[in-house]
Amino acid sequence: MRKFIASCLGCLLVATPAFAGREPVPPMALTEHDRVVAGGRAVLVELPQYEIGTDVDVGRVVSDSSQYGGGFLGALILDASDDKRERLTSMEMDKATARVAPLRQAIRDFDFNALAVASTRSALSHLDWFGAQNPEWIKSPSDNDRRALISGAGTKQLATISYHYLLSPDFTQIRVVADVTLWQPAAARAGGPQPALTAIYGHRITAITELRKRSYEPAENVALWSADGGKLARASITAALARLEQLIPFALGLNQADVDALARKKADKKADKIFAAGFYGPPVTAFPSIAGEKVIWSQGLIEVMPTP
Amino acid sequence: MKLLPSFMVLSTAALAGLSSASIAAQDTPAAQAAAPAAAAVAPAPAPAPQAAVAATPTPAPACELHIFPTLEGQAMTTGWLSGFGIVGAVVEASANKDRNVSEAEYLKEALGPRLQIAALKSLDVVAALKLPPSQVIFETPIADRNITTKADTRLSSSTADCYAELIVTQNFYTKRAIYGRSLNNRFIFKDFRGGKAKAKLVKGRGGNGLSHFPPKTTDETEAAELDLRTAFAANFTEFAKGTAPAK
Repeated sequence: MRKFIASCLGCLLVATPAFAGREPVPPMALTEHDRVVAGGRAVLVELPQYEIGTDVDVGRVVSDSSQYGGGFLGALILDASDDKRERLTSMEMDKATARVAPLRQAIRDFDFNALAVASTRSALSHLDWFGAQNPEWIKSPSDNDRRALISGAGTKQLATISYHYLLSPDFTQIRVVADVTLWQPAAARAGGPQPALTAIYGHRITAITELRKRSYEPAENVALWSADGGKLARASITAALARLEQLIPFALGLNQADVDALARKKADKKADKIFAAGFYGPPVTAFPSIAGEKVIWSQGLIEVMPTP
Repeated sequence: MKLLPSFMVLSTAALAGLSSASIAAQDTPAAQAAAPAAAAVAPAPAPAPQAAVAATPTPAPACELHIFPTLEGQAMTTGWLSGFGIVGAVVEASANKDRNVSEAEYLKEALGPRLQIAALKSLDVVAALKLPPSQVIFETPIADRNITTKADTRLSSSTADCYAELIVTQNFYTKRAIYGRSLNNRFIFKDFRGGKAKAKLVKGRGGNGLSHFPPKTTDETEAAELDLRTAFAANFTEFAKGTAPAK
């Protein structure tokens, strides 16, 4: 009970400033009214990575306050100084960086950026109503970069597609993540500062390729991805981007009722759900899947397929 | 302090489990090297065939047991000052800060998925779970506990009518002033036999004492890791004994 009260009080103390500064999560569907924008949309492809990324998962970490006691005040003190999770995460990240080195070396000449831009162009070309302008790309844009692009393009909205590509914590999957966001500037005041951009749509879409034969040893999985000049990794990333070309327009075409229905199924214990590549959610049957592929909903579209 | 009764039970069980464990001899480095990749299938021992049919290949059992090891590794050492109020708690946490991190990290390596599988392969897991002869299929670990501890549907794409899952959900090393060192594991068994789409989650745990883990010197590494695997196998056996007889 003491821990419960301590946790509640701790949450209140921490949550107040945190919520105050948090930006609202943009909706995952566009209303009919917002779909067509006169003048179309400027498109910016954000490609912040220079090499394939890694991910770590340390799982649960026992908290000091749950084991050493000390009452309400003790729990507050121990929780404040408990950095086990951070230290374990840092150790895991160091190990992951060492393990991925052969793959990074094998695909150092792989032009992810060019493929991502081409995929974006192709994806948005499927949507006549979107009015996509020719995409530009940038490593890591600031808000000023985004504002400059939208004013330079003379459009009312900006679409950003931010790509990340990384290995799963056990190195059995390559995940290509596309964060699609639509931005709209607030009304400008004469002589005032440049208007802030507001996100009016946001959707994370993930395409995953999984090794057909997986090992419990990360180094063995990395060896499979890296073999023959990283042939499997290159083919998998290319295949994932090709699927994103279909998934991005599909996601942009979902309306709020579709999204709500999928979110309800995800939350409903009795609804049918499937497991794929570490994710669990209802199957997205409306998406035209290819053989061997699974598409599920888990806070966004997740597509899983075996390596080509 | 609420944990005292359960630890007494676990300690007693640990002694019983260790005395009957004969798996150490089978858990050789060669066996570890042969631990299959996740997608590989390791058929369970088939019933002894009669001489007349010995030459014909035994068909793989129609039943499947999918085993999901865990990536988790938790460690916690508590000393005599635990339970002595706020001062004792702060002193204990401070004194064991580095040890808890390094031992958790070591446990994740020493009892990682491959070695959990090696430990389970030293047992007749299918018989322990009171299942009919089954193919044992080792899957990749699932990190998300919301999936491992709550999902009641199948976690593989198998559509076999006779299908079951065993999920390891916890690897927890503790050292306590009174009870000493122990390894605790949690398991979940899901029985989908009869073509069920959803199954009840049978959750349970096992806890057994450790005598060599963590190693004090590098010379003790092998004994310590064997100690861990022995305790893990005994924990599984303890869990399996507690599961309801298969229908």
